[in-house]
Amino acid sequence: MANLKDIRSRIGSVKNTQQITRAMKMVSAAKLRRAQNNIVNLRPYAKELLKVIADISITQRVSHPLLNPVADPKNVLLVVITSDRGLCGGFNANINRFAMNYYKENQSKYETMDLLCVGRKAGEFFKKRGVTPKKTILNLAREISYDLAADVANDLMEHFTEGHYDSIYLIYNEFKSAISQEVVCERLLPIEVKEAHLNDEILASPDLIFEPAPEKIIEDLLVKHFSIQVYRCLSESVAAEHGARMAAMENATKNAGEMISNLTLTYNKMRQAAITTELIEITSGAEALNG
Amino acid sequence: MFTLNLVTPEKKMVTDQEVEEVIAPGSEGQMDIFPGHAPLVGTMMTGVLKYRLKDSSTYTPVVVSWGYIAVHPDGVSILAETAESVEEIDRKRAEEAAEKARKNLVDPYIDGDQIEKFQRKLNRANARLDALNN
Repeated sequence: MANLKDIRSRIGSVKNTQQITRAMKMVSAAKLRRAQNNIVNLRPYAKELLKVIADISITQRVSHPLLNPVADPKNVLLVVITSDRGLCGGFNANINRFAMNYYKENQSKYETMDLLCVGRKAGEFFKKRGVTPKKTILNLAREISYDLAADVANDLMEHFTEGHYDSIYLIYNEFKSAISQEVVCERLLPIEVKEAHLNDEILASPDLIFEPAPEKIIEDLLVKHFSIQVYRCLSESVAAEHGARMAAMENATKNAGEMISNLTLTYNKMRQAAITTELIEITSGAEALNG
Repeated sequence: MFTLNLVTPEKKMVTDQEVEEVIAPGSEGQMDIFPGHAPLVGTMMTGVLKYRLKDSSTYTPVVVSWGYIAVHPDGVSILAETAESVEEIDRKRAEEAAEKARKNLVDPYIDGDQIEKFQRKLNRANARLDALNN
């Protein structure tokens, strides 16, 4: 049985831990709010852009290499987005498990299947399991900005246009709410447009002016759309990460509180027991002298 | 009603403002759009976008980089990659960026990608300074 001093120092250390987890929770909450705003602001832009692409490509019958799905993809790139840091519950574990399963299931279907990891956690995970990622991008999620995302998007785009890969898939944590996130796998390239988006009346107008030509507009729009998609997925992942960390730290703070109260109880019990024993010793000693 | 909407990935810059005139840096040349303009879809390059609110005689400049512009019978909607109002521009930074880009561009050893990159930077810095000088 531990002695009083041990328990006292144990309580102290748990209290310290609790303070750290509480601080981390608050930091994550603040960051989450910012990340959430980011996503909300991005949505109208992303939606409008996709709508325009669909409208123009369908009404003007423009086709583009980025739009054409390959009937039988051979070379596939899998982009896995995780965080650089841990202490965020199952956030990274979930995504890594999903990606690993996906990789194993689909590996045989294609000639090559490469991995590109965003975030330290995915890179380490796959390296440990003998799958060396083609590239690992670090420090991206810390200060996520459109410019950074556009750089990554350009890289991916180049791989695609140069024919290294004919499909690019992205696995990331989608931000559902502050406490829940979902692992999703999306095809980034080629881009899919659905007829359902079509609802712009000006494109039906006979004297519509295109400046420049529709093919050029579509080309520009698709490139931008792709960067926006990458930016959106990264933002979602960042928001989900902060959400997950907030929940994990909230739990940790609660558990630490429970632990402190249990330890305090044991401490008091032991202290009382010690006092009782001491008193008994004193009284029995006095008895013996009197007797 | 002829309204202007300007959206970027980071914010909604202008929402349903009633305007009388919009001057946009179209990729094929500057466009001056008044109510009643024929329907148009096009792209914009880096430059200064100016708009004049209804019953006003002053132009509000906004620095935009690449964007998509659609003119409807009832307004103009713009999707810009970035947009900055004059208040957000730091003159000193813009001047320094322009200077640096200019210096890099005369370097004989840079490759094509970099030329493009510095040219873009120079255009952006120049657009910022243009907006401030107007």
